[in-house]
Amino acid sequence: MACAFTLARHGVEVLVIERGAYPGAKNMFGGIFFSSIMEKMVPGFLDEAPWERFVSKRKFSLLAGDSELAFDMKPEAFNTAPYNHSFIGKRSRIDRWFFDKANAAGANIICNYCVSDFLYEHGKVVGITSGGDDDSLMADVVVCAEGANSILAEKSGLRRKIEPIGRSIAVKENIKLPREAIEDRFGLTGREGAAYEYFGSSVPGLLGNGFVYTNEDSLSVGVGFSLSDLIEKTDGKNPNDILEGFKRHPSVAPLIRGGKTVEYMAHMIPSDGFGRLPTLFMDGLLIVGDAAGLLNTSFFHEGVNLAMASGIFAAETVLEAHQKNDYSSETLSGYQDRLDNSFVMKDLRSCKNFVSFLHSHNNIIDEYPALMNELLVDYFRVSEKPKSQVKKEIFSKVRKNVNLTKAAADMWGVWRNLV
Amino acid sequence: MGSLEKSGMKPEVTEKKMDAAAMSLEDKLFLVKTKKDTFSHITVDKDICSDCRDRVCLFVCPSGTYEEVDGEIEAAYENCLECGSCRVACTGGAITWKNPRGGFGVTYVNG
Repeated sequence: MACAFTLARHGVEVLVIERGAYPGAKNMFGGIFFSSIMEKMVPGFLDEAPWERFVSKRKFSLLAGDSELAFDMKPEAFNTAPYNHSFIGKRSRIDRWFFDKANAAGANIICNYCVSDFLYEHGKVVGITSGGDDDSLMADVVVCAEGANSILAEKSGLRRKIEPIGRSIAVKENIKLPREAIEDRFGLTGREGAAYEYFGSSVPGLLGNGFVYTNEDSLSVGVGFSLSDLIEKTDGKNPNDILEGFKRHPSVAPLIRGGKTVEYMAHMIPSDGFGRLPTLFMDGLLIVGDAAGLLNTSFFHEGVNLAMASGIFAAETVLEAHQKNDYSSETLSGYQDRLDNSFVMKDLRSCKNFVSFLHSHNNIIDEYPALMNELLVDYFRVSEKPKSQVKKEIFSKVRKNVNLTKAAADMWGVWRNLV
Repeated sequence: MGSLEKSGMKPEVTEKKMDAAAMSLEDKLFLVKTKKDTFSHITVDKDICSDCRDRVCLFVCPSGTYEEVDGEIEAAYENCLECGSCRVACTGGAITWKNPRGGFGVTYVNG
């Protein structure tokens, strides 16, 4: 949509193809819309977009069994415009709003059209088809924004079949609660919002996390985790079972108490990582967003802003091709250069080891949180034991449970690959 | 944009058991706004399945679309949430998953 908006604004004839009933009808994300790119395109975003709440409060929580250790922040800097460009929202609402902007700029749309394949002429993509007899649509260039489950990117040959290690699954519920209850439980006023992320045993033994985000009068509660971990490390657990386990955690259950679930949703998330990104262009075709694997899989969980940036870069490249009247892969390769020189590829490169490091250092997601919890419990436990004795016992417990050389190497690895 | 919503897309929301703390997967699936096609967008190659020992489709699917009936895998395509996890997880190639035809399948209201 960012691509369509940009092209339409430059007077290029553009048609958006949507397989759902309206823009965003098939979309689902965790819930935080990172808006810096959007605000540059549509300066009115802050005042008029249908976001639910801005993120004024963030919590990073480590669950160990039924326990919780958390780091909570509510900086004044995030509590004033532009609110750290972080807004909790729903794709169905924001995408429709954004399409209306693109539409006003001149972009058209066809909804309920499912592209089954590209059309080719001498190896160049020249259009799309839904598989019916008379519904082919021809174009100078096609920009594929099909999402994480991109069958078309595979069909085009630009990527190999997606493997389980290259995807996570996310399931989420929308849980209705009165806005007063939300504001009281999360300590919020007005349009302030909270984004709570739960690591550790929120998704037991799996690489992933749970989350609770506050909408205006509902919560987005979900879990996301590696598909390959689900296959290899659980004994046949369904994603819904993992979500229910998270909802039952003593730190989460009180937040959703009395709420009514009104929707259950599922979506894949790319975790291709920098080293496994597909080729992003060929004659007559560009791939953007999740379909291109452009998602920051680290703690930042940024997706929509990377997708929008890629859409703008695709549009700039198409404009260049339009001027030259040359849509060959040589001209379209400018898209790759634009991505490489931007924060998109720089960020993906810098977090390239995040997922693989955690896959190979499982102790970081289960053993260390449990031990850290135990040590803190020992440290703060009230007793008549002298504190000096307590400290000694803690040190000896650390020495007994942790190989210090290995722990130092692990911590160095955490610093290098995760932070 | 409301006019683009197909008149046939009525949510099948039931009021029963919406308590967030105690909902079964079956009840949750009732909440999903879906326009059911008469034609399945999922096909399963039973010859490949018969040799498959892992049968990961039985648990990776968030909506429990796949079931074993008399030793064979059946796909209740109308429950599909269109995430595509089964397509990626079935490395044996038994599952052919296409997007539902235009106008059919799920519509997320709170996605």
